[in-house]
Amino acid sequence: MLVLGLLPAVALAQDGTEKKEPQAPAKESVGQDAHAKKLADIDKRLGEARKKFEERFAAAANNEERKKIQAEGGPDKAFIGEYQALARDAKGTEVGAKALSQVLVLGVMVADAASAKAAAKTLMAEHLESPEMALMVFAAPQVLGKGEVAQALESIRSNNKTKPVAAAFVFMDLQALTRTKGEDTPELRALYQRLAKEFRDMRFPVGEQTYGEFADAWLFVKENLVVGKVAPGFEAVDENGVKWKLEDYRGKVVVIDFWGDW
Amino acid sequence: MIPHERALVERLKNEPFALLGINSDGDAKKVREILEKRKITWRQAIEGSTSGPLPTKWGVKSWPTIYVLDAKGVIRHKDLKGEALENAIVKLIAEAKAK
Repeated sequence: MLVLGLLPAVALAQDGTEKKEPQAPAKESVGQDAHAKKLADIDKRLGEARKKFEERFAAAANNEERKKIQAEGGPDKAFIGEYQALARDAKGTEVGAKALSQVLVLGVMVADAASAKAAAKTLMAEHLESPEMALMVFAAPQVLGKGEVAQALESIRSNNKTKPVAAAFVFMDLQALTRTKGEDTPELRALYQRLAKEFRDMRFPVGEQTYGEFADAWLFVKENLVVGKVAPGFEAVDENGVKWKLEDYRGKVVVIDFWGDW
Repeated sequence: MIPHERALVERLKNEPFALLGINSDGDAKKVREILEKRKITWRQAIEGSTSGPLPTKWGVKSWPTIYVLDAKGVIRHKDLKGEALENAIVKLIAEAKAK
């Protein structure tokens, strides 16, 4: 069973066409199922540990106590080993790829560069065609050596045909275009519109935001907050808890001043 | 910036003009203290932080960010300051009164 577990479910035949492996016996699918359950279990415990940590942080009496709690480093570090073990057990499977992705994310977050890099290398070597590679598109500059990034990204771009990876590259292209040509080119707008349309409900590899939400926010600003357009209405609450709205000031010349006393 | 704004609000108090501050300093209590200390009397929105709902929605990335709206609510200028801001306001007030 262990040996079977090492075999990918679909292998490429030498002529380049897909060749299905012989149907795996029932025992094997039970093994994969157990791995998926294990992954869900670790994810759940990590989520709970993070929530607990945040609650402790929020409940801290003062800044000193908050600093102390922060210095403990949070629960992420303790979970890296568990994901690594699961990645070894589920080697070559999508669950294995997901476990490696978690090692990569946690490694970056707790500055465990060695674990992050090892996970990245395994992902590149064994999961180049997996949708999990969307994370690699984002993480490559942070975890790979300077000379390796461009080649890794090119390799993902030409080998990976999954939708999450396509979305990640649209996002990367959009960032590069912003850096080189600024905020106001039709090409940039087209990329945001593409994100909003084709990848609307897909989430970023890390965090809760969808590409649709991200693109909508940018498009809202570009389409509404420009000279010549009616300013979009809003509601607000003042320092005494009194509600007011922009429309209350229609008929007056209005200066809206985003400010802070810093 | 603030002394200038204070003078502007005082000078235009009988005109169809409003200055609306969208504040990102903190909660209402903190902002009340700042308003008192700085003698700020004009309308405020309490956004809590730079990532409050309105700065986020309006894509504000630098502070201060200033929009000037005419009496119909149309955005006429962005990020004017000092004399240019004042001139633009006076011009728009005249425009509003002429109609």
